[in-house]
Amino acid sequence: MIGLQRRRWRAVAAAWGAAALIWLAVLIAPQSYESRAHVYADLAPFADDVGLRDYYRQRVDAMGVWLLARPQLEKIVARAGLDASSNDQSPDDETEDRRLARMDRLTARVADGMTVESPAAAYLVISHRDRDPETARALVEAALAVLMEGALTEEETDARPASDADDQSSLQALTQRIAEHERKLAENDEAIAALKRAQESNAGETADAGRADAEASPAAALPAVTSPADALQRRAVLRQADSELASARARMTDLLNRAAAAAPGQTGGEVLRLRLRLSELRRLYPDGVADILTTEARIARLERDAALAGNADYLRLQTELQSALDAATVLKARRDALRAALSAPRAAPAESAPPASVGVDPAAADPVAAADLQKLENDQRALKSAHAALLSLREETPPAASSPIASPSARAGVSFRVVEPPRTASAPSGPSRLPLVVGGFFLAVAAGLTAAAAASAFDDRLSDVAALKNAVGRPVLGSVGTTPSAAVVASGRRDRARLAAACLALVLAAAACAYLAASQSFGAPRSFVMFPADAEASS
Amino acid sequence: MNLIEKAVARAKVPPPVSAPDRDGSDPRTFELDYARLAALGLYHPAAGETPLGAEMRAIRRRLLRRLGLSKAGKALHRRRRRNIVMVSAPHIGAGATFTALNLALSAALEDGMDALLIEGAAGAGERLDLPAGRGFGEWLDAPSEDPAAEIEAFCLRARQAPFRVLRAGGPVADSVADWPAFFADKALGARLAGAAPDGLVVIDAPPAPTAQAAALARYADEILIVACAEGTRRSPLVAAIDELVDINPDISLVLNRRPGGDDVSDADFYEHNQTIQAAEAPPHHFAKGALSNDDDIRNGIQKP
Repeated sequence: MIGLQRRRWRAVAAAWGAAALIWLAVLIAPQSYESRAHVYADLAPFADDVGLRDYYRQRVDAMGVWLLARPQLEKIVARAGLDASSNDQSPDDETEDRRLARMDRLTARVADGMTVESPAAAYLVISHRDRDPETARALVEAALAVLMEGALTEEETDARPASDADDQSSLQALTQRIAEHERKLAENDEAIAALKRAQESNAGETADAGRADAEASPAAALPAVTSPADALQRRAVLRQADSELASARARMTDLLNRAAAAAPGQTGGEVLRLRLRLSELRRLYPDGVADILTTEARIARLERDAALAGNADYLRLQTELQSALDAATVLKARRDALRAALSAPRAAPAESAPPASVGVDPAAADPVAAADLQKLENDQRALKSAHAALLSLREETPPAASSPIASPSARAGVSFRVVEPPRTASAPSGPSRLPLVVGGFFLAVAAGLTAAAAASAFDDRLSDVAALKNAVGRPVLGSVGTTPSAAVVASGRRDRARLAAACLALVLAAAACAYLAASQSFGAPRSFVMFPADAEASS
Repeated sequence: MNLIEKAVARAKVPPPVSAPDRDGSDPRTFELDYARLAALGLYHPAAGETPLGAEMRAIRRRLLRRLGLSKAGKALHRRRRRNIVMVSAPHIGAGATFTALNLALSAALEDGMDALLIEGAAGAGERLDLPAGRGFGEWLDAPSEDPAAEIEAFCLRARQAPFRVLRAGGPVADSVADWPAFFADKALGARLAGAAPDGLVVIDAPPAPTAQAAALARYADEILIVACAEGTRRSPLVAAIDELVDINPDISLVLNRRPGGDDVSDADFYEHNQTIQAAEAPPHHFAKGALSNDDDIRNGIQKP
């Protein structure tokens, strides 16, 4: 304590110095502004299929990770104009290495400040913190645009360096994709027409066989309705067929769910689930999409690693699903035949015996061809949907600069809705200065005491009789204290007053800094979005 | 400067400067200005009841005990007289002059001892506002058969107390290189001790690492090293003691400027309080030999 008392001014000076440094650092430290956007992934197109909903929900969550990958970050940097501003500052003859290094810095900056969270199922919150509130908002807007484009085009492999002509390039890519879709649509139309012609030609050849199996097969051709009673009876049969078809579909859905819920370790279930996903992906997206390639590779690896022929889970699920699918196909054919018979003009009573070729269902005649036709028609519908979405996107995309916040219509796969667009933050979100100022005050006091204590500890100057005796081992005859003359007393009084004033000034300075820090509003931008416990319930 | 030049310089020693002679008294005497002493924080008659008085009393008591002297300055050991105290310090500003002055003043003013303060280093005379003149150097050059009588011609004597000051003097004190040669005199110790045969000789010596201090240490009966609290580091103190201990092992220490002006040891307080009580209490007179044995003491206690 004597050492501290002797070095009181050193302690005060150290405390003042530390406090000044800390407060100066707090004042000049750059503040960050946060901008955020709330996005809802609309899964309505898949509301009737639980397995697909789960898949797309996982896909929405994975999009958060996908968004922070380097290609997407480069797109975000380009859309936000960060690379353009850097290009203005850099020379035109910038080397490729320097450009890459600059892009690395920019992408690292964006990756550090951007967060993509999924607070609820099918919800994404994209936020970014930056020193400039406008930059933060621009980056979130760019991320939103990249997210929506990614949901539509799935161009994960496009790692082109971002540039000012990125919008034009995206438009060109969109046009190319639309042309490709149109080409595939035409090919599918031709294939469907060829299949239908082949089925019609085969229908005559199989009329006899169809007539023989008419009693046994529920999908056999039915004669036209001859009377109201006949119509009533057929409607009853149609309702029964509809009911049986619904049961078969429910059975299929149950099997699909079981396959989708298969644990990763259950090879059979996983393979089946992946095949179902692959089938859906092929229906919805053109070949070459990353998800399709990844799923195919995964299936190939599982099939290579596991002996599926002896896998009980796989065989059981596959058999049950195949039987349910067959039953549903037959029931659908029968239902279609009944509907066709009911919708056909009522036949004369004399025409009790229909001609052999009339009423023969091509699907019943050749189930394989019918399945191929069904697949082609499904593909055609998916292609048409994607084509329509592409056309819509191209219409919404201006030639020069697109509006990244434009709410897209239903996309192929998942449609995103911007619940809350990003806004320019009016107040910094951090760091909060008040705790830093208060903590800096206590840190400064501790620094002062530590400085005085350290000076005492490392100082070998003798302070008392015991220290003197221990230092040299000689007898100490006594000690003489400082003479408290009037001048000394007055000097001591002045010294104490100055010390108190210095300490009080430090406290007042801390209070003033704390007041200034408290008067400034902090916090993340407030959001009024209420996240439901389950997005499915709200949808 | 060769020896001849030194001899010439010694021959040109200025005549002794007269001491203050405002009232026509002996020019080799001076008046102790107690107010000045009090203002400088030095010992003065009224300081006996202050912490400074108690502290100096304790130091003096222990010092005399180490020297083998009684309070009255009589030698407890008749075989030899040990009354030369050299006060030094590891560095300038530690308080050696302050301690030497206080020690001599307290011995003279409180105990009535014949105290002779020798200025081995300049400083004490200025504090007492004494004039410069012949002093220690000249006295060294003038050996005499009767040191006590001879030193009277060189020192200044206080009128109020048996307190004398031998100032530093002329060229001998200034010629640092010559000090060892001068102090090589075997009889110097006896001359110094004989300067105050019934009292205390206090030499205010230069800092310990100097050659003068080493030369003086040879003739001192006790070396008092003054250390300054929060001012003297351990290493120079140890170096100073190592410098002197081979010459004279009788070394003791005093701590100056101890933190807390009122903080004195219990023993010092006891002695201090006893002094105050004795000063304030009415005097008790006992007949000579009244308390000569234990029974008398016991009876005296029971029947005061």
